Amino acid sequence: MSKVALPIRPPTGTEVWSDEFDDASIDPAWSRIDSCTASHGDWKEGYGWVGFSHSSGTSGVSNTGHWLVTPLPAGATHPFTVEYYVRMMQSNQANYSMQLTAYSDSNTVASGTQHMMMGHSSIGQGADIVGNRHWTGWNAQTSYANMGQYVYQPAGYYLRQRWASANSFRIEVSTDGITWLGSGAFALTLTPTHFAIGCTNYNNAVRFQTTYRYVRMYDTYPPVRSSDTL
Amino acid sequence: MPDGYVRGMPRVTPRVGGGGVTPPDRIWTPPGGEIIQDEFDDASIDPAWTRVDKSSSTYVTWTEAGGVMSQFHTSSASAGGAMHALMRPLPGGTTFPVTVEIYSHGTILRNANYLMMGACFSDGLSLSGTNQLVTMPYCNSSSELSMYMDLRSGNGYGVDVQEVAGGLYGHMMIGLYQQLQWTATNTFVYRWSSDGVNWLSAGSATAQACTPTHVGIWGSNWAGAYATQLGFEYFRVYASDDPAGDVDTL
Repeated sequence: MSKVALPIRPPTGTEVWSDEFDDASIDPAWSRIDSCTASHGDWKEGYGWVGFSHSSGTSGVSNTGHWLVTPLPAGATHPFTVEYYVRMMQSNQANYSMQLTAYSDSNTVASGTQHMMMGHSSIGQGADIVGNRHWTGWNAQTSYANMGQYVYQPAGYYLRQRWASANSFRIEVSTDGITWLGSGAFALTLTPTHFAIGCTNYNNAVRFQTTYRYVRMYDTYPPVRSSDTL
Repeated sequence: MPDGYVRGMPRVTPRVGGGGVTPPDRIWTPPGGEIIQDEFDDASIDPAWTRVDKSSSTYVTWTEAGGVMSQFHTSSASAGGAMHALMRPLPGGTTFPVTVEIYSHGTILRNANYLMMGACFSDGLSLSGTNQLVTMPYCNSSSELSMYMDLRSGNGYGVDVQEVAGGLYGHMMIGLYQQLQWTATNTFVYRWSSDGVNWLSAGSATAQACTPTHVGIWGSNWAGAYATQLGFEYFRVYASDDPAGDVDTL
């Protein structure tokens, strides 16, 4: 066929772990956890994507969500980077449907500390990459530092979540996977053992889809493709 | 394919042009089992298609090239609800469940109502005495080309009755997977997806009596005096209400 391929950036070949979501089902390396009602939706993988279709159901509590969690490779330590590509559509033009990703020292709800990356919808479907959050137990927010970068959710965007150094984390966002805009350092006492991709409607009656194209892990800063801003 | 590969052992397939992995998106990867299929990768429009125009056919040009079926609509205003469709027959004896699946995108020359495009069931080709069910994602001037997602019905290729307001917002220019399903007698379902894997549904419509004999694609500017451009990446029909391997009733 003569159709043009989606311009998703390829792996660099230096990944220490990756999932391109090109299987017929979700790899058993991922386990599902939910800190709100599990019946809000399901995760499905196929055609290069893994995503979640979320009902309009609400949890009654804002800082909750649905995740797929996988262990970091054995011996993983800083500097460590997870890169992914994500796209969303939602049922109205209001706050808040969200994509969430996290470093965590636990894969169990109600335990552990999370460095949560949060990108949520706002009027007109711009995604506010609000960035660094300190969560505990996958269901409570302790502190945050807004990043203030806006992208367009239906178009998709690249994210890098970095365990930059001991107890220090960063987030970077890009529309092309080449040049990136980054947050400042976010201090959080956390030695991650797991990484998670997820979503939530943040207790708002918003139906939406969150879908991830790939997750790639690097045991250093990923190779600079052209110019990085940090 | 197993995941978690070890560095130095890349498992991805080189892609021709652009580098990287072979894109397995549903656009390029029909799941199989199609009873009608047109990937729009020919140099001309397949003769199985028949044009049906509720407003003047001079307003619209259909072109198949580059793997896309493209519709150009001049700035002349088609009547409200007036379809410009390409239709083709279902195999004789076909009955529910049937799913029509398309991938569509489009743009408009200004930020105005109403650019729309979708899939269609019909019980004939005539501009009178026939019944249609269509998917109708359409842009609104106040929403930056975001889409309202309606399942509409009508008669004689004028589809001005709203069956279900789906209420999902995507974006015209980025593209959208759509499914129109005939699930039971006079019962139709509209589903859409941003990845072809995870689907959201507008629910079912039962007000319109229609026993489909034809399926197709359509577009319109619905009384807006604006030029529009639409593209359909493929057209696939399944004798199933679950061609994606899952059913969402959210």
